[in-house]
Amino acid sequence: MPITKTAKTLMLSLAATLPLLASFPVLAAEDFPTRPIKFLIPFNPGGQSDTAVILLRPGLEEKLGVEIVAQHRPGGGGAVGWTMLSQQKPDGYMIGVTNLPHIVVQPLMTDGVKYKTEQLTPVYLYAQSPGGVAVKKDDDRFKTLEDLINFAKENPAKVSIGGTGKFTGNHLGYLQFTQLAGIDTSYVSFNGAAPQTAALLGGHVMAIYGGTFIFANKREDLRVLAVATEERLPDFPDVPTFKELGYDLIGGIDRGVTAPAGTPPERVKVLADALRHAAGKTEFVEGMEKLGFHLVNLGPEEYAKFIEDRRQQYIKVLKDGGFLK
Amino acid sequence: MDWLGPAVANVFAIGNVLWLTVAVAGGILVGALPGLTGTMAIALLVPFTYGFSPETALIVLGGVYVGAMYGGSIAAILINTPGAPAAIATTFDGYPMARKGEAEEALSAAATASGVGGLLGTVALLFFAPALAIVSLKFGPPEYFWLGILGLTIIASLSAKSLYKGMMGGLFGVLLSTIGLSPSTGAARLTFDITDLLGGVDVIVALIGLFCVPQVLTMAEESLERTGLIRYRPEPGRTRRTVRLVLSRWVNLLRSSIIGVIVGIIPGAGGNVAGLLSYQETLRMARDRETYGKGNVNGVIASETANNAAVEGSLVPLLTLGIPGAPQAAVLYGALLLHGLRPGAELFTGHGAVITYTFILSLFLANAIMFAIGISASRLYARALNLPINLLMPVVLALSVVGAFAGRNSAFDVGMMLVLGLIAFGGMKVGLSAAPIALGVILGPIMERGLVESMMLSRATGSLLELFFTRPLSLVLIALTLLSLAWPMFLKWRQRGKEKATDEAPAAVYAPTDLWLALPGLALAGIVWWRTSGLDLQTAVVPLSVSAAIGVFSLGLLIRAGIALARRDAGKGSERDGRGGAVWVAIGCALAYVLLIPVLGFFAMTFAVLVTLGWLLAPPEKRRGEALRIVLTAAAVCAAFYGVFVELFHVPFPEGVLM
Repeated sequence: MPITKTAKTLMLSLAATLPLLASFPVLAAEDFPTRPIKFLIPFNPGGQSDTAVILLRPGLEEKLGVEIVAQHRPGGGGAVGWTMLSQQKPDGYMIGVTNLPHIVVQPLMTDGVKYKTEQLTPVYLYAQSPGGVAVKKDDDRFKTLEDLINFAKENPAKVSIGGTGKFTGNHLGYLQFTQLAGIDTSYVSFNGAAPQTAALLGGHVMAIYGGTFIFANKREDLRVLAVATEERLPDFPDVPTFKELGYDLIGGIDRGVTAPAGTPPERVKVLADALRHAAGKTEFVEGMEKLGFHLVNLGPEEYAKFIEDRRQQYIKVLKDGGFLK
Repeated sequence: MDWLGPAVANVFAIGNVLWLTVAVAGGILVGALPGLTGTMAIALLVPFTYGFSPETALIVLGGVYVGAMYGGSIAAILINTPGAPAAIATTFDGYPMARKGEAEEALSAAATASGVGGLLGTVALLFFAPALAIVSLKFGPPEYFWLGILGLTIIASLSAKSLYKGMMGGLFGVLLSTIGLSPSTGAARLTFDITDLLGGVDVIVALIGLFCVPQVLTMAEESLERTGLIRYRPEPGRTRRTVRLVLSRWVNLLRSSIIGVIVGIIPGAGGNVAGLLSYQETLRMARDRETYGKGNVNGVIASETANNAAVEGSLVPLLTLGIPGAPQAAVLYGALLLHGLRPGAELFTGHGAVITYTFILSLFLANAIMFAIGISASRLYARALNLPINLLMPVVLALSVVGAFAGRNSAFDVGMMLVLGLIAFGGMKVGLSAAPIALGVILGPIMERGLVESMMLSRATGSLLELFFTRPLSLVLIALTLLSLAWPMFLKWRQRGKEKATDEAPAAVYAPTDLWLALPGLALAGIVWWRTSGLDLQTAVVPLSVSAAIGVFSLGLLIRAGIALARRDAGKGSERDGRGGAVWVAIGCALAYVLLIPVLGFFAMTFAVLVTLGWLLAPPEKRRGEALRIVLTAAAVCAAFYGVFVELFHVPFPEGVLM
């Protein structure tokens, strides 16, 4: 009898400690999530954010055990959707695709944008689209970045560089590049990558500052002069980074997921773990790489720090450009 | 040419043919429903086709694209609402044909013209893609500006009765298009601190508001006069005669196809501009100008041929350069990349060539299937017109609400749709038609982007005037613009010479309606000026100049009205005819519908509105007898909506307390 009693106590205490040993994720996972999670996409169906969500969804559903419902809310370059996201109940049942520099720069630079960067809690950063400078392949004036910079120095304002929008990833990259190189060029803002590339190929602008994923799919027609990455891109082994050429320029569009501020940290962790799982699946990796994305995996804390670093960088560029006081 | 055998075998593989048929039929349905567009359908299908072979995936997506482009004409003809933006010019003559009892002819003409346009477009894609791609790159910022201006001159041709009012409408449309973030400078304009307005006025929402809502209200007005919208009597042989007639208009077909392909290859234009420009050119060449806009089948042919030719046109820069020529093509681009296909030379050599040519050749079959479905179903669609108004009208209203909501999943857009609809309905009463406003909404952004990009570019080139007036392609577009403007005036002048004696009386009957247009016009101009004059030049140039023009036109109207009043020969106010009651009922229901959806839920409100309007718009003596039919119809419509919009398209309708 006493032995059995001891055994019983032992078993009981074991049973009691097991969940404790397994710690919080299990506890949190027990009560969250219990119903479908809405995944906000502040852009149109068929866009890059939409595609990323489509590829993330199976892995998320597998890990979380609930349905992931994609919800598009396009408008204002994402501002309409992010405003809506920032106003949702912070219970973890709504997350959204979030881009940098957009969520830092929109509240700073655009009148009427109602959300603040701090109202979105970082969950996970899954991909980057680095920027770069390209010219037409048959343009013999500009074989290297130095050619372009020298030409621009000799001909102030005469070099037209096509970008997409103002205060966007491409525009900030362009500003940073021209500030670091000390050149005066003319920025022409196109409404998206398609008209931007068409304008370059048609000879309407001399160069473009754009996403390297666009360049990767048009390598027959373009000559890429430099890319804004830490190391050379596997897609362009022969193209130098700005850094190699002496310009401290690293950036592009950084694609992540955020939740409304105030979402409980343990739920953020559940979501981040699920995203890490989904972003590690072969289908996701292969699909995203075919589309030219550069994959990264940053959890909530790293992503928060990343945003802070980038924020400093953007503010400096905007101040140096005279756009911010 | 080693691709030829395998490609043909792929196209005619039984599985692919079946998929293609389903895709084309589905595309037609999506296109016919205002608010659901081919772009949306293709985007939703892309993940679904991820597991397919690349050939089958492209065949399916291409089929939807082709089907949806034609489908837009069905709503244009039957309910005067472009089912998709590209069908806007189809409403000009398609709906008047339906009103004359020629719905079947209009529908089968649209199917035939779409088929021919698609086939010729595919020929162009197959044989001339590389050459056409070079042409597409010639369009730079100044050319976009002139293209937008050229498109806007169609207003001069459309507004034969009053150029003033047409221009006012067009300017109002351009102004609507400038709401939100400037596409070039990213700065907010005319948003009045409302977050939803940052996203601007969606073209689809505007089209539904401008066309569908006035149509719904007109139906309500007419409900007391007759029970059916338009009498349509099926007769054998009408479709066959129409097909033969359309095919005999080969000059129109050929011209419209060429315009369609060329506009299609320009990134940023697309089917809507193609249909409009082709309509314009057909009108210019016509000897029987005055019959256009009143149900001339040539108008339907011009619009539908061109927009379907633009489908293949938009694929030219996509496949050769990786630059999509239209929003639909942009989504197809994503699909190509997901299947590991990279546009450019890779798509035209080796195994890539087999896939590419399978896709191109499948477009021949897609157009043939679309034509077959179109002409065999024309009679069926036309029968929809025989539905009693009290059943049809609330369904169209509900479709408008769904369509306005579904594009951006936005309840705000539904409200915007209704407001624009009421403005358009009011405008209709004072001689302002919806078409010029819609043209402004569609062409305004093309024109504005061209202008602001050119301004930015001129910093590098040195001179804006040089950019605008020395480039060869710009000069061609300018010449066409001048021709478009001068031609109607020339005709009017010639006309006047002939009929001088009879043409004097109507000059002054405008006064009361002029005032109704001039005063809001002045107010609008003032508000816009006040809100935008502090912004930087590139952000404000278009809203400012448009509001200045609206102000000038309004003053002109005011002076004209003053002169007419002083002469005491002002026209009589619109006569009261006792039809007002039904309109107010309809407006009340529509407002309640839109406002209560977030509270009570979409399906509960839709059911309630279908039953209420079904009851109120039925002739009083028939109401009791029809009660059951009204309720059953409402239930069936709600069920169908659930199936299509919730199950297939995953539209996240607001859920209220009921459902």
